[in-house]
Amino acid sequence: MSRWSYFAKRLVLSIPVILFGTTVTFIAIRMGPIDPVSAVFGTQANPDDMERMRRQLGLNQPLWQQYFDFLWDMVTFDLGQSWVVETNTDTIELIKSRAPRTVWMGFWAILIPLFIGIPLGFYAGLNPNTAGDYFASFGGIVWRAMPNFWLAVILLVGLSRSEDILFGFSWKTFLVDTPQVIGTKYFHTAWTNLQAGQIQPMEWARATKQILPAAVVLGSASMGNEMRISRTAMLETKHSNYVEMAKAKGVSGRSLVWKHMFRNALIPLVPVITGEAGLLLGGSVLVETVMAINGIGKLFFDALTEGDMPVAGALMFIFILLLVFINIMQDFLYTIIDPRVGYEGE
Amino acid sequence: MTDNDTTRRRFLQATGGAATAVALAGCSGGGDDEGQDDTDTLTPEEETERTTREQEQTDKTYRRHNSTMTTLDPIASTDEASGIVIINLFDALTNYPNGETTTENLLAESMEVSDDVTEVTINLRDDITYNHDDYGDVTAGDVAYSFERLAQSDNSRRASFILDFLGVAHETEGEEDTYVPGSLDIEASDEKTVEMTLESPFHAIPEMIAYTSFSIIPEGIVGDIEGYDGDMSYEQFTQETPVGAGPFSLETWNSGSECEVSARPIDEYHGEGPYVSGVHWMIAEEDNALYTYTVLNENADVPYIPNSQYDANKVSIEGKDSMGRKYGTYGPLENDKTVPYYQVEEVGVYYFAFNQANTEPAVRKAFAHAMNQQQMIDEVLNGPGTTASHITPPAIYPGGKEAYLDHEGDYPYGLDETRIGKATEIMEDAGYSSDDPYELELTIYESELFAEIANILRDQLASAHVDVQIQQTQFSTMLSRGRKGNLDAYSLGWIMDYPAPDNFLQLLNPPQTDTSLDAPISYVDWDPDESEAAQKATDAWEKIQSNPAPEEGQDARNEGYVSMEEANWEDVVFLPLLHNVAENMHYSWVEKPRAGAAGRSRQKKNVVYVGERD
Repeated sequence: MSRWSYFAKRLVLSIPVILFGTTVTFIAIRMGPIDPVSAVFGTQANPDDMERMRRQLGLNQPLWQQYFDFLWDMVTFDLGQSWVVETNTDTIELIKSRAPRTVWMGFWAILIPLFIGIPLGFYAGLNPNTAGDYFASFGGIVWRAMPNFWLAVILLVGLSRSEDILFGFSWKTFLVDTPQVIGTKYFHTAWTNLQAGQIQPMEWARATKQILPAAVVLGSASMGNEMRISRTAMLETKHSNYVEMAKAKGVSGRSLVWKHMFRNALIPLVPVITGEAGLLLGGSVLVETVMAINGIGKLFFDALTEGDMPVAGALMFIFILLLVFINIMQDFLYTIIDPRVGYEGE
Repeated sequence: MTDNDTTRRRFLQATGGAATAVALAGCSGGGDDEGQDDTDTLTPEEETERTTREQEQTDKTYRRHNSTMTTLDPIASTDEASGIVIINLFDALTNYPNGETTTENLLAESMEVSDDVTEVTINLRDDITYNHDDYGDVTAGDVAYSFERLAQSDNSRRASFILDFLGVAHETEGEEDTYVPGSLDIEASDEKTVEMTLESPFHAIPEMIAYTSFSIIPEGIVGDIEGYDGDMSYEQFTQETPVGAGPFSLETWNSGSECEVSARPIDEYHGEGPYVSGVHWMIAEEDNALYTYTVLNENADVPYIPNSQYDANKVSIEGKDSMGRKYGTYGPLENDKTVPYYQVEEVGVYYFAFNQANTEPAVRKAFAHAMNQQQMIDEVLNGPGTTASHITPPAIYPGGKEAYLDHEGDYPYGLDETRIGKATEIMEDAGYSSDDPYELELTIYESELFAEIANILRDQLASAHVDVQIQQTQFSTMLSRGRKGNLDAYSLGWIMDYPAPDNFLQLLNPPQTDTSLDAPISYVDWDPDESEAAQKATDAWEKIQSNPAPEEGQDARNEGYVSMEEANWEDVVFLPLLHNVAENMHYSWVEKPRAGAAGRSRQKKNVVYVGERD
């Protein structure tokens, strides 16, 4: 089987996955106890108004018909309009306005562990049982163990009051002036101007500074993970026979590490890194809420708990599509890092 | 807890787009009321808070926070967060100035009502314009269009306000009595005069049309009703160009992040102000985020104090103003600032309700005897609150607060008393014992306050042979279960739509509580065939309905209100808990009139002045 027919097969197989996922979403929202109409009106509800809304949204149709309508809308990419979260706003518009924040946060949340966790892990793996190794390993475990909600609040308060706590160091005026510690105000300015064709380095610097605490919190767990796994991978590779052989042949240290060991040690890291792509999609409801980012994660959570079928359904649908795509990408990456991996052998 | 806006917002955070929300949050630990007890003897201060300011606009933006808004379309909005912005973009014919409970004309110059209270003639002011250059003066045609939209549009979530409550004459068709487009009996008789006919007299016309749903927008701006193509798309109207006659116009609304409105020139707006150049709302819902934003970093002009940071001892009351609002200071905050503070008794009520078909009379009475309202306020609420003996709040009770307190003497279950002995006696008489307790499921929504109160009641009632099982669910889940008649007992609240007792007591109109209906108004199955008290309440409600004339009918209505309250006591349908008292504060550089009992969210921001910040 060629590489391409393998990917074609994966694509076809993703169809039942998508069907299953959207069905589960529908069942969870429409057959559970959640009622979007109650969520809209709350207690100050008038029975006639509620009935009118039910009729308008088609909620008085038989459930099976609602299900097929929903499925057909998803398949034809007619994602509809929000029922509850942002009444009568196109779902696509809603997602478009919220997604950039989450992606911006997710981008840094993946980048930080990638460029801190992995190098530290490799360093520890290359110098096992040294003080540096112990320090890095221990740090990794502690970092991994800190819960998000706690770390988020600590950073929030700590950075806001840094003058009192950190001996006069002021986070708000550090490098660039950011009087607002949380939120996405600066990113929003930078992003809007970018869409208008202007690149404003200062605004991007502010945007980065403002998002960093959230990204660090979100990335903290994966940073620990990546550190631990890369340490083990490096250690294993270091003691493998071919490295001994290369050493015996007199390959220099630098070229040994970068040419022979690095790529092999990366293999177990690929699924870990691609697994983190979930951060890009869903972000984290918790971090988004505490840091006032209100991106996709928060949107998804609200849509689910308020029974906003079009928004929840559309997000679920997009998430599944992206996850399937990322998984396929992951397989593809394997073949690049390790040429021995192939799809021909079946 | 802090002010009511914020506590309601806490609720919204959990339940999303829910309407004028009804949660109180509570803290554990006893609230020490030191410094507050003696304030009832305070003499009212002179009326100073409504001085007219020099008409001058500053370059300051008033910075606040808000929770997630759902829409800027006045007829589609059901949540408080949207309402807070909408009321600043759109003006209605009348208004609750500063959120007080009496209305004033706003876009209307005058309103004449015929003797039988069915013909209403509204004259518009001459100097009213829209906040957008393409649209000039507000005309009578705009009023007719806006009202028609409220009745007809698919986007309208409040059609009942105009069709049922206000009851403008109209035609219906089909089995479901759907509204016939264009049949609303409202007409622009000339440029500035609107005439409308009501199906039957209604006693609170100016109060009703002050609601944001009745906001006036330019005729034909959106095409979501028959006969109009729309000058712009619906999305553009609700998200980018909401044209209204309010003191501000929309600058940006960035979903889930921020919203900013900019002030109209001070000589262009027909009312007072606006004194600030704009208002900015940061959108966030989480306590830590809001506390960091508003207090630690002082990014807003109004501090947000979450429960965990609230300290009743930091309140110092200095006096009481002419409207009975206690005022003083709160502080110091963590940023060393001490801020002006005041309390407002709002028009709302929180209660436990019992499904009459699912619960025995004995257990309901036992519940009422065990409930000590004052204990709940002191121990759980950790902030000011008023003990409730009636469903109708004191401010709008027939005869006012005095009559309320007077009638309170007849409350049969010991107000502010824990009567476990009495409760036990009733349960034993009904044949229950410690070996054979009565099992009752109490459903509460995600509210700290109700959760703690429910726990206290469960523990107290255990010795009275009632085994209370507490179920905590999502708000909307609780409501939809209630509608199906699946709840034994539940906790809820109600905040006024318009300041009249029938707005509250409609919840206790027995025929509308039947859960076999598609959408009952409350979920208690109070059946007039089963209970004398229910029959009494039904009759009383009919009496209220048949005496709608604003003045002549008042006495008969008042009698009806009181007998409904008494019927409720008899059967313990709603067990009243408390009337909420909002605590409001802002930094000292903000000057604005204190908000009234209708709530701070109804106060337009054109009256706010922001001075030099510290």
